[in-house]
Amino acid sequence: MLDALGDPTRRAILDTLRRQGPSSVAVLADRVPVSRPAISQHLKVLGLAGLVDHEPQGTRNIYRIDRSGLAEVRDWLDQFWGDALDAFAEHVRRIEGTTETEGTRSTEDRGTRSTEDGGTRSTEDGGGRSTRESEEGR
Amino acid sequence: MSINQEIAPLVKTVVVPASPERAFELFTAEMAAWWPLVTHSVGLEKATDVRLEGAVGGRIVEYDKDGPTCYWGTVSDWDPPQTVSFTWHPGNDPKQAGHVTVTFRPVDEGTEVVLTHRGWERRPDGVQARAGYDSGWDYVLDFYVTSTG
Repeated sequence: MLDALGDPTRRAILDTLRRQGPSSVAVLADRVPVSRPAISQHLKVLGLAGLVDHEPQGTRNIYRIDRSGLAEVRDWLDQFWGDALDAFAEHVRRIEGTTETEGTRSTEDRGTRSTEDGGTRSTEDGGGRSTRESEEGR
Repeated sequence: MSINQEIAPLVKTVVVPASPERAFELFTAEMAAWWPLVTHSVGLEKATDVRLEGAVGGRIVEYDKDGPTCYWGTVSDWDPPQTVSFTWHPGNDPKQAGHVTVTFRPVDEGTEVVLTHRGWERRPDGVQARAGYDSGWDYVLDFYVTSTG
């Protein structure tokens, strides 16, 4: 999935399919600046990733977004932030690894704030925001 | 319309061996040192830098070798070393942004960092969105809405 979405041309193809609806290779080649054989090759990768489906229409295939790939896409998103945070943690370990005993609470004088925070944040976010947003949505 | 506020936020947690002050600083001011730009950016391999401007109203800016290329979001809450929040719309219309909150809490091992990505429902047109999206992220985020809505 990461691989399928990681290529700019493939993302351009997906975006085109989203905007234009189902399209032939010829139509895609008009919109995406690569050759038809290259388009076909990218469509194959997208098909294997479950992101694009096709059906024959006359002598050509019509390609469209395949929504059955959604579960994988959701996992991908989950992985997106997971990867980012892992990279962050790894970086901190590298930078701070040798001095990890230092500083955890030395400069934090306002100890009460964190407790206060931890207690209230979840309710604030959960209740307040959704009300506000449902009003915005009208 | 069928996309509502019930959509579950995405929550990720990690514990890092540093004080909240240091963890916050590394996460924000030194974002470019750890953010996996090659896979997690609009420009991918062309992206050279990302900077988070540390103040309410500050932007998260992606750069390539020629300069700034796009904004990923705008800081909406800046409360070091405990919380930073920002809108999240890499390559997309800010009006349809998601919202990310990152909190830093001292624990025995250092700092617990909790990232919450919510606000999918803010998109006014939800699943039917067809306006000009240029990045794979928008594609992914849009489909995330579809799949959870």
